[in-house]
Amino acid sequence: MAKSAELLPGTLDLLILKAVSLGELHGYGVLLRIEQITGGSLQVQQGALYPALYRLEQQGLIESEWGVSDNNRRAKYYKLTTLGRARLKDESASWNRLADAMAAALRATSQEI
Amino acid sequence: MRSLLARLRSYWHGLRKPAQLDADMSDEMRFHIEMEAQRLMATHGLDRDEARRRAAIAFGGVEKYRGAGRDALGFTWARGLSTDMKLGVRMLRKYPGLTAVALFALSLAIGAGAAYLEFVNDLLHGKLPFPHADRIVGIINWDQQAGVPESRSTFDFVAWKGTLASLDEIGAYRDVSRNLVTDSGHAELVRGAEISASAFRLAGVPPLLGRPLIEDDERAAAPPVVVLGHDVWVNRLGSDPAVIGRTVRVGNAPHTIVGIMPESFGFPISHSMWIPLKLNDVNYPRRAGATIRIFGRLAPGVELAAAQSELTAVSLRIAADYPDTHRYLHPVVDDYVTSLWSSQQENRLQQIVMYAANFFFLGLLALCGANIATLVFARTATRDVEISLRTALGASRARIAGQLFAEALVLSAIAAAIGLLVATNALQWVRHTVTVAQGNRMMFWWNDRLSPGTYVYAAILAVGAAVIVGVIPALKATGPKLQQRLKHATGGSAAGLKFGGVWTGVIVTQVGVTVLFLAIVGIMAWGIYFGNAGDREVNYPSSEYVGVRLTLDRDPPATGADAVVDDERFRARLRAFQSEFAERLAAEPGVTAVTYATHFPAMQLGEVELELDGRERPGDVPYVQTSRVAANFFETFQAPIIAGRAFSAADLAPGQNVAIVDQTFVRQALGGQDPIGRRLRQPARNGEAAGPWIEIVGVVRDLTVDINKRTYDSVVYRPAAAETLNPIRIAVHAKNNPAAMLSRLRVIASEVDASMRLDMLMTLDKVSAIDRVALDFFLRILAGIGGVALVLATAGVYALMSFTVARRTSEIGIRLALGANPRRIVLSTFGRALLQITAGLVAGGIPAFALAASLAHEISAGGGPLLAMWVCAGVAVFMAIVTGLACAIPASRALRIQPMDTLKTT
Repeated sequence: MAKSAELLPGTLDLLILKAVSLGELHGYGVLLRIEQITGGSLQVQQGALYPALYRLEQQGLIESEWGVSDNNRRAKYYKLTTLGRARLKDESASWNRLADAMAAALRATSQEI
Repeated sequence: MRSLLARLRSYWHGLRKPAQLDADMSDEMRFHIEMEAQRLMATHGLDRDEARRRAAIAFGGVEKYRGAGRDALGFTWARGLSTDMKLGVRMLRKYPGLTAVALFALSLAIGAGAAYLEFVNDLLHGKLPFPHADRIVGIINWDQQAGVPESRSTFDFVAWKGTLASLDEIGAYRDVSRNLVTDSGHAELVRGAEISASAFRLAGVPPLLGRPLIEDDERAAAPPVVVLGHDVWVNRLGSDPAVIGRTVRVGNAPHTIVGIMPESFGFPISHSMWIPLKLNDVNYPRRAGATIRIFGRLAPGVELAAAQSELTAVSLRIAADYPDTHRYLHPVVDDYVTSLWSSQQENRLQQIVMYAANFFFLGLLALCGANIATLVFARTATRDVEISLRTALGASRARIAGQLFAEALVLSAIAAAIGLLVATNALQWVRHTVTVAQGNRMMFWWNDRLSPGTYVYAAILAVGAAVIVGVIPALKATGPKLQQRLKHATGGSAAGLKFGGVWTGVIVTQVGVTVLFLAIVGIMAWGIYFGNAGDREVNYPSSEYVGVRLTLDRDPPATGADAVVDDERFRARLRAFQSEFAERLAAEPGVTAVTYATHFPAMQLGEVELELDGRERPGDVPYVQTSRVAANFFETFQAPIIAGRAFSAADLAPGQNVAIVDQTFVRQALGGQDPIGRRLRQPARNGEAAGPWIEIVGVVRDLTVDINKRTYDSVVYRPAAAETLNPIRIAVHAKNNPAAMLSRLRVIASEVDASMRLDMLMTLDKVSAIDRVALDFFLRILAGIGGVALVLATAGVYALMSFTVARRTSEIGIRLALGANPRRIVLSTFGRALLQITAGLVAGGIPAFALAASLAHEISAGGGPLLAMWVCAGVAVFMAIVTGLACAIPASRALRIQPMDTLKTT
């Protein structure tokens, strides 16, 4: 198992939005999807997922509906709202800018200064 | 926007079903753990229990995340609020004394405020109980030059009737209060109206029996018909279902009853009898003739503004045709009830003043709220430890303030509910009082139900009261010194919550205000119940006399009739009635004398200015009372002539300018000089010439007794022939059986002429009873406020004392243990409270005395500073006793403190 990194504060919301943007998911599915798309390299506190989900729902970024899971259990499914999609786009862009900036900064050598 | 909606929805769910949401959350998390366990079983080959254990560990604390989830969903506050509410109810039960005081004061303040708003709204903007009430309008024809309404508008009414398209109904009425005489011969005055048949169409209220007035009744040749109100039908006709078709007399004219209207109908104001208004001529004189009021109904879909423009256009056309009369006339159409009040410019101001008076009730509520806040603060102080610990454990200031607010809200909500009940009763009482005082029913649209707006207002008042009662003490209790108090709470030595200077001020003010109110109530009550306030003592046995006021209605002269002839005919009728009536009365057994006048003794007479002949400064004219009387007036009222002569029958003839004055006049206006032969007259005013000189021919003993009589209490009597007085008051001296005379008078009057209107029939000792109704009304209101002030002041002192004892329990315990004298302990502990009470008594007592002294002689015969002093002293002693008792309970509690207990807990 690859060594997993601690999640940066504030990034869980973005990850959830991304995960849900790829298709309707129940809470556990969100966890699996995040593991899948990050290659298991980010460690998510499983329980922390739920307050984050409720918060996003509260903000109108995702919405939920009770349904039935593959193994015939009652489960709550989340999907992205239009507002959430817009937010995801904004946040992704700003995240990428930050990441590029950080990467550039960290690549810098004494010659470049 | 969407996010806001989502949030609101979530709050709503949280409020509605917090338990359901909690269960859903648990479900979701359990599902997660089970799925994870299954995965672990499949990928790691763990057995079921081990997989579950690991899955639960990986998930973390379910409780913790559920809490975080609740916070994220934002319904913690909702749960908190409902918990706070429950706590609030528990607090109310735990402190019944505080609850009772607070409910009493708040419900009275909220109730009074709500009742007043409802009263003013009903009065000024009442809603008619008709299907299309909002479309019913009144039209006032303003004379813009004079600034007064022109109500001689028959010409305009006829002109508008055919032309206005924005009104689908238009009608007019004029008041005709007439005696209604039934088959039994019983005659009683009924307030009625000559009214257009359209009134019944625009009202849309079907009659209870028969039919309403119809267009056909308005024809000049139509047989006379009458529609009667429910109250007349019940009281006068015994609710007879077969009444339609019966004949009654309205005044002298027989009318056939064609309909009975239901109880809720009293259009136009408070009428109970309707006869057709016959306005059939095409040409009425402009700005002349009968005075009428005009009403109408807007056609469907027409706005008030559109109707106004049309009316203005029409009136401009009329003004162009008849500039001599109509140049300045401008009709204004307004909502019906509003139009009744907008007839004068001052009334607009009056309306503003009436609404502004609400601030008085807001002030009362704020005062009550502040007082209760004192009590709540004292109670909060006993929960000091609880609050300090909760703060230490992380409760925010807002959270604690919120809890106290919720408690206060529970309190004020209950108070508001009680207050609304009080308001309903208060309105019934007001209606009753007004009805008694006016002798008329209230405006027919008045009802005892409260309008939705009033409920909303009461709710706003309740929230406002809760803010004062709950939040202010909470902010004080959770203030920045909390840290120190925490130390104190946990055994440290710093001081706890204090009853600061503000509360001291509140208690001093309370005691002062209470003294002031109780003193006024005391002096008024004394005046009304012991001092015959409003009564003037009279110099004759007034209970043996029966008096009545008679009015003969004069029908408007027929068009083209000779005014002088008509005048003479009316006088002849009046003379015939009066002489026959007087003769028949005198013939009654037990009647010793019959007389007449414009006013009876002890009545508020007509006040006039009089110029005295030979007075040094001619411009100096005294105001005096005047009455016109019969020749035998003084003899009948057993008032001897003490100088000069009495009136004789010859004095009644026109042109006899003589007068008799009373002793007060001689003393006050003439400074004791001999009045006989002196002359007086009405002074010249505003370009009008002075009246003729009138010679004083005699002096009569005062008919009323009052030691503080001023010049304006003196009376100048002038002789008058009965036929010149309409209305006229007739007094009968029936020594042996005045009660029987009361009913005989009515019978005799209706036998002589049933159209004669009788009112104010009473024995003469009741003359001032009408003034007493008003005095009594104010007395009760003041007594209510005084009661609230007393309860609040007493409760405030009690709270202060309990608080002090609670604070100083250990000190008192130790001092008792060391053998201190209990009396000294009580004095040292309660010294401050006694000081505050004394300060309050003095602060309230001085203005109370000043006010009482000035009221005393106005209100109570023979009252003066001495009476005021007694009343104020009584109130002060009463206050001292009551507040002393409020101190005594905590004091005895202080003395019962067991030294051992306090030493153990210290």
